Amino acid sequence: MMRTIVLSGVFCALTATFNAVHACPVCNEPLGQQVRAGIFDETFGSNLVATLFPFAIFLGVVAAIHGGGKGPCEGQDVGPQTSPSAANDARTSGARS
Amino acid sequence: MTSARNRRPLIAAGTLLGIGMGGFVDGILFHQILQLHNMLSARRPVVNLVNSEINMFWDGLFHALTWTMTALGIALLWRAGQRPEVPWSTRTFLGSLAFGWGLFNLVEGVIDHHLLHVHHVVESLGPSVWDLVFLASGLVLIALGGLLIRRDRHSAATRPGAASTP
Repeated sequence: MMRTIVLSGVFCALTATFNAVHACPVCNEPLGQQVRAGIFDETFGSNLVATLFPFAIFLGVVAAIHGGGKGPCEGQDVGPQTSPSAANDARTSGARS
Repeated sequence: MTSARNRRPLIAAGTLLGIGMGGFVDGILFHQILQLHNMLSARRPVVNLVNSEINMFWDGLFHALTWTMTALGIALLWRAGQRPEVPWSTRTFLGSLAFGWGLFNLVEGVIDHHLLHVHHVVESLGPSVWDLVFLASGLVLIALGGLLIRRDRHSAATRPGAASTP
């Protein structure tokens, strides 16, 4: 009797969760079709621009930093070595870093 | 004898990684954990499953772009590590990370929150003081990063093997 009750409970739980809603953009279900339509509607272009625009600016700023002319980021060597490659070199040669 | 040094590759790498870190904090903390807003939550309020899924798509695109920034940052950092004239400075790198994070908050805040109004920091409030706090955090991080980078401009040294000039 107890076993029947437990099995019935498990069955009910599985049944309750079986009707999962398929709403992903590639799901061929009514909700999925609504999601697809909502993504690829007339606002798709402006939404895409809104998402991409900040990243285009980021890349522009980083390109300016990386490829900029001589400025405060460049100069003459004035201090001791601190790089990990130098530490590795020192370790492999037995010298102190 | 002195060596020409160039911090730009390290700053560029750190800035990209900072942008990535800032983007992931926004996406993971604000979009997913706290669910304060989503990418298009001002245009598509998250009031039903369909709108939630549509925002999930655009959040995913945002995360993909953030991942791309991070990947580019790793690539630049790897290349910078192979160039002997690039000083391997912790202060410069941390400053660049802060600068990049601040740049993300400032640019994303101005464009998405104030110009295009695709979402706001706390969507349930609409335009609010939290949008300004987000911008201010960007300015503070940019100032902090710039200060760290600037203070390190004389102390960051090149590595042995750098091209030397008499």
